[in-house]
Amino acid sequence: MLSLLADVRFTLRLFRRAPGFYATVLAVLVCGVGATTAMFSIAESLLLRPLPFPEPKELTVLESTEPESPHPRRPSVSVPDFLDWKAQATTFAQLAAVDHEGFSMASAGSTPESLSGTGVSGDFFPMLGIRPALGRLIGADDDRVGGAPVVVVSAALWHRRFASDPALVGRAVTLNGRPFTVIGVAAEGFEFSSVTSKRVDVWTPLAVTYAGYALMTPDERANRSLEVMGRRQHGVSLENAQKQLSAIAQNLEGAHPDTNSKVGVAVADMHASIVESARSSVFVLLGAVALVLAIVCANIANLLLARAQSRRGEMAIRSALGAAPSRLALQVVTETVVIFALGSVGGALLSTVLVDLFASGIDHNVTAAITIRVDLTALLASLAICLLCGAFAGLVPAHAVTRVEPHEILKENAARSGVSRGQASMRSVLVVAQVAVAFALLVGSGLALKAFAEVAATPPGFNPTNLVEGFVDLASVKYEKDEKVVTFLRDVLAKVREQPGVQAASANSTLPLGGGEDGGPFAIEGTTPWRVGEGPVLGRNSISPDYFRTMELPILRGREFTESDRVGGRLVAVISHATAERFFHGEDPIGRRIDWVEGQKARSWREIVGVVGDVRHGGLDIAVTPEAYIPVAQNPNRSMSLVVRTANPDALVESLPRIVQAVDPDQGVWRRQRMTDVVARSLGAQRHVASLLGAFAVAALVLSTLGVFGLVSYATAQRTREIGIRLAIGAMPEAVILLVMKSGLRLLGVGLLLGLPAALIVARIVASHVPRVSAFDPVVYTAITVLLSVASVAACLAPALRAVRTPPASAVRCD
Amino acid sequence: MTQVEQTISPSSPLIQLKGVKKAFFTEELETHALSDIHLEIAKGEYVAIEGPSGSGKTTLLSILGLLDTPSSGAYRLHDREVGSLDARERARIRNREIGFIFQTFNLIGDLTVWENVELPLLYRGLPTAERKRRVEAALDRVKMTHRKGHMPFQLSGGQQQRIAVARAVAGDPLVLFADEPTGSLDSKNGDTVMDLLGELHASGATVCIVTHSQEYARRAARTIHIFDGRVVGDALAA
Ligand SMILES: Nc1ncnc2c1ncn2[C@@H]1O[C@H](COP(=O)(O)OP(=O)(O)O)[C@@H](O)[C@H]1O
Ligand SMILES: [Mg+2]
Repeated sequence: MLSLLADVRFTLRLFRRAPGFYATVLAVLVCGVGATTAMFSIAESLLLRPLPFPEPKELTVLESTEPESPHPRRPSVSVPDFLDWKAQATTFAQLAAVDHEGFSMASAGSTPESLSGTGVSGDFFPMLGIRPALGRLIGADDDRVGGAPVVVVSAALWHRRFASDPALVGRAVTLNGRPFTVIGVAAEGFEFSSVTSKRVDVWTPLAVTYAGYALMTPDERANRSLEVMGRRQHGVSLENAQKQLSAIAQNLEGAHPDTNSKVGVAVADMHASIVESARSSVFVLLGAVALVLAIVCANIANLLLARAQSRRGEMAIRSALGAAPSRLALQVVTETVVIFALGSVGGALLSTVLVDLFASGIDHNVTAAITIRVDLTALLASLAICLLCGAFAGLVPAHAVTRVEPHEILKENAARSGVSRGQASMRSVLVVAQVAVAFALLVGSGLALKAFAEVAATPPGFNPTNLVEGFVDLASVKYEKDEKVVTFLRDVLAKVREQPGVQAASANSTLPLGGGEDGGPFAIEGTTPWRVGEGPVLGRNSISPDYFRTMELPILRGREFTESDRVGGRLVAVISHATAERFFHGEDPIGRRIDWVEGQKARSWREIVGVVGDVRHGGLDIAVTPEAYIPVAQNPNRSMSLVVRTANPDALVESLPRIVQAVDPDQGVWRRQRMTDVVARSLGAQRHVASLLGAFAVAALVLSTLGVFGLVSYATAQRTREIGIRLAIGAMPEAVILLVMKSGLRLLGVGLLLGLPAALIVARIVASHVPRVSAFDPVVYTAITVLLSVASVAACLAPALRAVRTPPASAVRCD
Repeated sequence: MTQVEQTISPSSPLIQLKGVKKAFFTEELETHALSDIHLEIAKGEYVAIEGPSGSGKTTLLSILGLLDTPSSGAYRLHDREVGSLDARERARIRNREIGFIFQTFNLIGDLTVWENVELPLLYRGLPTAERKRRVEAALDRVKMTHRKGHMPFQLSGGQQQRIAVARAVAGDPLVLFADEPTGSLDSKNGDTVMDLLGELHASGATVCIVTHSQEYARRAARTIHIFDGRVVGDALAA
């Protein structure tokens, strides 16, 4: 025990004596343990851990499917379809529908707060097995047309907004101008509403807040705006549930051909649906981290081997003083264990940072349902892996020192060359392996990053710089009349234009890259209408005047809207370039008329008065879709994005709520953001996968370069005398530099050669997981080869320059 | 090189040191290894430098061999000031005009006998055929041709030193310096090496050796005595 303490003390003294070396070992360990723990934790959270609800395997997501629709849409179920499913689907114990809604919550004396809310049907809470923290939750009795307006608030909101007041139940709050009674607080931490939704603050009964609930009209049946989840009966498989729902959908198709032709149902496991978007990124990152870990292990093994070699002298002295071989081994092992203990603490800290970074980057719907956190098992697993390689690296030298003969210290030359060639070549092998793995990882990340960069560099069609969006949802009863909406927008925009720095302001109902969409099948006057269910879809965007100037969309033909394009006037539309190309085939579309109808006769033809540039909606990597703009005055929409071009975006983001409240004191601004952020966010998880991949790639580059540097420095130091001799017999400085470089470049060359097949394999895997990646992109392979070579040359340069400064006179002195 | 040969006048010495000093600075300690050395060595001379340990012999030889620079003073080699040349020029001169033999042989362990002898010629950039000719001639001179494929560790000390001599003479230097070339050898091997140096001198080489041995010193035509960094005696053999 005493001697162990002495070993630990001695180890700490070693750290002080060679801080650079031990700092390097520690940094490498922290990187390795941190990255590995983070990725293991993320994988555990997303892929292995069940959802935090009882019997999570029974939970199911149900969606309507339309084969003609270009992108699968969510939400996708109409109220009448949901009610029919619920009545007939005996394979489900519970079936719940939700409808997302933004609320402005007003309370006396404070600014209105924008809340995220969901109307939920009666089965929602029982299905998920959620208990109230206070009061009660919404049940079947609350969820009926004409029921009392009640609300359940999240525990987070209760703490934040109501100071955890235990007397909150029974109090009235005003949501969108309507009084609601708080009936309860949901369980601590529960902020879930659906697989697509981010965290929510309040839940209301669906039948109460959804206008026109239970109206089984064709219009309602075509209005597919709910998300539906269910809990299957015990023992009912996903396949059987699918069979029954498909049969139900077929019946509905027969009964309602106008609205349900070709509309099917798809059921899916809820957990799989939630993690779907994050799944392939987790696999890609797990692969990357495995490679980083391999490099880390090789690096640590190498560093410890180098250390052991340079301490052979010390060990020989200890041995000469009578230390038993086992005693020497214990000393080495103690040293290893102390380093690993420190490394694991640092690694644990780093992993929390990485996990948070990842969690902030993946889709919010995932984090609303699943808490992604550092997992103790993951920490222990990654520590175990590093320890294993540490033990290997620690025990090989421990084994080596037990064979140190005490007389070795007396044989000057023998001792120097006596360091086994086996150990030296083991170190070379480890460095070559690091270079090879780093090459593979860098090529893989390079391919993914290039694909990402190409997407990110795609122009969105508008200019997002110095553009701010503020979203208002005019859901209050105040805005029941259309004119109120138009007046509100006009007044707010007028106020916004008065702000310093503002160059232009307008509004739209479908923010580009904002995730929403509007529109549908349409007809062109004078052409044969498409058959029901077969026609293309035309996007629809209601906009305020001055929109194109605000967004910096080029007007290619005709004119933009003015204040005179009002309700009661001639109905007008401006179409996008892609629309003109696709549907008017080079003919002048100006003066032609369109309407969003399908099957029926057009009721309100709109005359095309202009053509503008295309804008990307679904994402920078998604093809431009046809779109038309109409004046908001002729189609008042209550969910509008104010868009403002300003020299001072941050100030406007800050002041927007005050400007809106100057027009309507009860109206909140649901969200405010810079459009550059919207564009960045539209890249979604890709962006964070890219930055994590980038971080891993940098780590691989740094570690492998460090490996080359360490070995070349060490080998060069061993060759000081030889270099002195070479200089003495007239070697030019560059010949010596070349000599040192060659030793490093040999490692690099072999590493690259072995790395190439590995890189090809990695590239194939990346290409199968990441869209738009070509596995054989020569640009990436060349760039990575150059990058690694430059890094290795730089790594060799320092020892090479040190070697050149060897005084030639050192050759005449025998140490 | 041709130019140097043209500028040399028959009267001027091959080596000329004027007021050469060398001081070493280590941890606040200043060691005056050489003070005010004046020395001339003519072409074709055989000079032995003698003196007690620590008197500055190796330091003097290092400066003469352009392995080190004097702290002050002038050094003319072959009628050219070489004390203030840059590292590249000094490397060139070491390579072409100077042969050095070390006490500890200093063969490069990873190279064969042949490669060791070839190394200075390689640094000089001679063509392959020329290198082959010279290496063979040098090995033949030291009678080690039969060992050309060996690694240094496979040779005895005496054999290693003979290879070192071959390496020193392979480039036809103007002058040969040897720092206690027999210091690591037994007397028989020491004799062989000294005989070799004698033969080289006889065939026209300028030789300058440092030695402890009175007997070996007597083989030289001229003996320079060093004490405490100064030349205290300079005598031609009787
Ligand atoms: N590189 C050096 N740094 C410091 N002192 C040195 C160095 N080389 C030689 N000396 C000192 O210079 C003096 C002369 O040394 P040296 O020329 O090796 O003597 P000798 O070869 O005659 O034994 C000694 O006192 C020695 O300690
Ligand atoms: Mg000496």
